Amino acid sequence: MTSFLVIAVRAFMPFALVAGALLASPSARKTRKAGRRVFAGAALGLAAGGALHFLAGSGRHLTAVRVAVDGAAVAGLLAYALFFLFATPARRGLRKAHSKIAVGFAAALAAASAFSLLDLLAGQVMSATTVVNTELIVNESGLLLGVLLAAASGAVAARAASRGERSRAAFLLAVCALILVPRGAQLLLGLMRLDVIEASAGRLSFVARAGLLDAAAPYLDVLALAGLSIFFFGRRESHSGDELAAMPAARRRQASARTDSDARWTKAAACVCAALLLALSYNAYASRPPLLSRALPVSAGADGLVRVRIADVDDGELHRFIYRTAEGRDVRFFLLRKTGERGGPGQIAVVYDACMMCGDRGYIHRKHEVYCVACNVRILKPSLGKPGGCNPIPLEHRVEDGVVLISAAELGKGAVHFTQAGAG
Amino acid sequence: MIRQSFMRGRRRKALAAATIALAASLITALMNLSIGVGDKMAKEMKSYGANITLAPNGDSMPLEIGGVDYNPLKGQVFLEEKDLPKILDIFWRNNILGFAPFLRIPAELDGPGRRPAGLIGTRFELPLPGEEDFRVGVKAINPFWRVDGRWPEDGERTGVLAGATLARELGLAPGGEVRLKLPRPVRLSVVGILSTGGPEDAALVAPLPLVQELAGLPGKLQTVSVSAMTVPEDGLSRKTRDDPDTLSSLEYDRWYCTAYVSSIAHQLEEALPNAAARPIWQVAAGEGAVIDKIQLLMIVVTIAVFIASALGISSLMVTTIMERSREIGLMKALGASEAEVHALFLTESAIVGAGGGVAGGLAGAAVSQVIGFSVFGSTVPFHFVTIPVVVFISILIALAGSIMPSRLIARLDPAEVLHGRR
Repeated sequence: MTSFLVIAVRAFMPFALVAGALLASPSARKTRKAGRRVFAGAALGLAAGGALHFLAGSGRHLTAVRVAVDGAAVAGLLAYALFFLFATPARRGLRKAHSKIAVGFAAALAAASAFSLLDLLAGQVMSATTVVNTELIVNESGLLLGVLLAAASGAVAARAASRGERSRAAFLLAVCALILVPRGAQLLLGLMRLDVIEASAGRLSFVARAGLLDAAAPYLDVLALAGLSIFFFGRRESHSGDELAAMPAARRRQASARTDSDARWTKAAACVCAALLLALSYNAYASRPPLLSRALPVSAGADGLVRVRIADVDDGELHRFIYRTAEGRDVRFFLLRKTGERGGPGQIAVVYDACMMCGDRGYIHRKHEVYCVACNVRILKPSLGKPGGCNPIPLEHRVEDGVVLISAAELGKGAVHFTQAGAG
Repeated sequence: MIRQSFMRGRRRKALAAATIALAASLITALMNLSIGVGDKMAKEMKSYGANITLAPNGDSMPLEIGGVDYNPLKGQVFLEEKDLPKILDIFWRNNILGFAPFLRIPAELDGPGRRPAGLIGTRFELPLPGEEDFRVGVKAINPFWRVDGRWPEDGERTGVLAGATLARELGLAPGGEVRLKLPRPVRLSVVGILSTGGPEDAALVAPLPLVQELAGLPGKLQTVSVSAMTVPEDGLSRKTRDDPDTLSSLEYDRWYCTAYVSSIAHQLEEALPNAAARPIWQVAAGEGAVIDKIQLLMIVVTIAVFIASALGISSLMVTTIMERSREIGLMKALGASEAEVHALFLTESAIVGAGGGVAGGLAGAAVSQVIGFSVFGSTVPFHFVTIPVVVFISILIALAGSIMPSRLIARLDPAEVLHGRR
């Protein structure tokens, strides 16, 4: 469930924060109409984004539509940023233009967010079947909660940003930068895929680095929101007891109402930030790939043979070993005693910890079954040691006097399956 | 402030809660019944093992009732037994737990109480040349089959297993004899009684060469059941099932190289000439067909009940607001904003909705047990996930019903209301 929650937060939080900051602008606060226009633009953008993803299909068409949507979002962002930084909206004529650009920006960003959500959901499946079941309900509610959490962050941002123009500007700048870099990189990647721009090593490395920022972006967004809320709390209205007593009754009630309201909003901001951080970090922790068990280092004797005593590995557990070849590559292999027919002891499987297809992510032994880490398939234990499919690559060996003998030359040949150079 | 406001007009609120509780109990009962099957289906599709049936291509499935095949043999297409080792040539050979061939022919029992009975030919534990520890036969793929007596040898000519139901009817026991007309009379000795819990219980199970000889179809089979270790279904396998033309070549490679049921079935079809492979989803095939219709019913009922309750709540809310119009005027005069007055009433509404939802959820749990007893004759397990869903829907009903009456709040002017003109 948290994975769907995080997907929704990733897709919508940047948009929600921007919308909140836009709604907190002085011109929007003056009239309700400006706020309503932003909402309407955003709703239209969301619908458009969803519809475009649905109609785009897949493959090249999808990439082209994605480029268009991302391009619109980036263009809207740059237009608004330029206007915001360089044009003072004090003049009448510019104010209208400012409002239009703000609405356009909100709409384009909404469309891009909806498109991203559907992109992220395309690889997942809510449940194994479309019939209503517990898993489906839990995952859908995760998605819904994520959207609500993003909306809450937007509401908090709107309230906190209304306290001061400079803080609002700083917040908006930070959030827009966090949107521009990953989305700009995605736009660049799309353009390279469509052969509009030539792919070059420099551009690809920029895209890859921006991908790292994309992973950290939600945390940075939460940080920005927390910063804004702290600033809001710092500038809150507070009166000492004497001041309150000196005021006429009505003004005193109003002052304490405002103080209470500020305190409540700050608490809300703290809750929202805490909830977001909790969800993001739990998801990051829970989606780690399984860790391989420790590999025992072995080395070849003077005769160029690695020796492993059968007695050491005879307990039915997976025993992993690691060997450093002459070229400095690390080769992993494991031994496992299989159960034979009718439950008796079977043969010992001696295999590389890598697979022909998925490479050297390795295998884990969990609950009496062997699983491939890369593709999550269960390996039939009796078939360990035979080549083919997702099975670990068999390792040539000899058994003599209760000792498994593996030649170092053989392990050297197997180094081609492993990618890690020996750690210094 | 909400608490104080809540205590007013408790009777009307109770009525509103009861309306919602009624709706909620109906939704809970239906949801509880269908989630049970949905969960079973999801679990089956997520499991790591599956059965795949190979049948001759272009063959209509044989018409089987009680283990007896009523289709005439003439004109049927067959699979060749000599093609069976090719199953272990596929890419996913290491995931094949076992397979068993089947040839079913209709026969007639001779003697008192003439009646048709099915004769199923299969292998029990035949080793394959070239494979040291692989055995072809039903013992490998059906570990839950029980035999009272002994299993026939794969090369036997006269020993058969009698299904438990059939044996009970005819009074057969291990060591007994059974006579068939095929049309020529045949005597077979019963070496064991077989209980499977499936259609084999009403038939005779014999070694394949015997049945092939009796049917005059040497070396031929009708179906092969393959038991394979697979990876649970996910988005890619679903996409391949529904929309195979939209797969990119990268996605196709990934699908082929992952041990999905569909991928293994596809490779089996590639390996065996003239075979069509179909995965068997037992729950999905049986209860799943019915549950689709129940789900549609549930959605329709939910919508109807939603609208009805919302209308009921709506009229109750109008009365409430009209009654408390002076209070609203006072609040506005004191400086409350429109949004705050709206929030007060909507929050009350939501709390009433939640309370009604909880009550209705519990009532619905009881109702689903009653339905379970009367229809299935057993208790239905209660799924706790229905409670949050029903409470959420109830709150939505309450809020939906309060939208229209809330417009009235905006129209109340403090001066007019407090003066008493309204």
